[in-house]
Amino acid sequence: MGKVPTVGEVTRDFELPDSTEAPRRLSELLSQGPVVLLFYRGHW
Amino acid sequence: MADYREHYEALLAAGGRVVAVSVDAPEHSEALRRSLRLPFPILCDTERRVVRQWDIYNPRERGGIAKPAVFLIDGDRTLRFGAVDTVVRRVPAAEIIRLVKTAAMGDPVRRKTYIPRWGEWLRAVRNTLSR
Repeated sequence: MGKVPTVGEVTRDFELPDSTEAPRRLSELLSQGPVVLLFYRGHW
Repeated sequence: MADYREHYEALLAAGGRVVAVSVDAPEHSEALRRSLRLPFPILCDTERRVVRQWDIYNPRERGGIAKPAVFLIDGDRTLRFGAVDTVVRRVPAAEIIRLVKTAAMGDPVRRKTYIPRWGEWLRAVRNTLSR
């Protein structure tokens, strides 16, 4: 089990498929500016 | 998430972008993205790998899902702001936009906890109950 990152900490990079199954990497998304990462419960 | 859709233009103008994450399968996430007309990507952590790494995994509900959470990460991958699974989880998008502006300007990280004002707190509770 990991831990919730704290403010000021460098977060771990990760890669996940998006809803079109295209791979997305956090560090690449960040290359265009700050990212608001929204985790949500989901419906299914 | 609809809150973020409404504020998306302002968020882009502030120099930020939104990325949503859940444990749902891509076809379900895509259906949600289309039905809510979300202008941002949804990532699919079906293996619950990232939610475990970030310790926001809730194994007790519906076969294991993500806890609701908002994180603001700047271009250096430094965490600027985080709120997980409390009333504060419905941090208004307007407040996030303000924080995105300072992050986009490269201001140093401030170790400040976000404390919602009373009106925002009430709105947060209402939003949570009406989901």
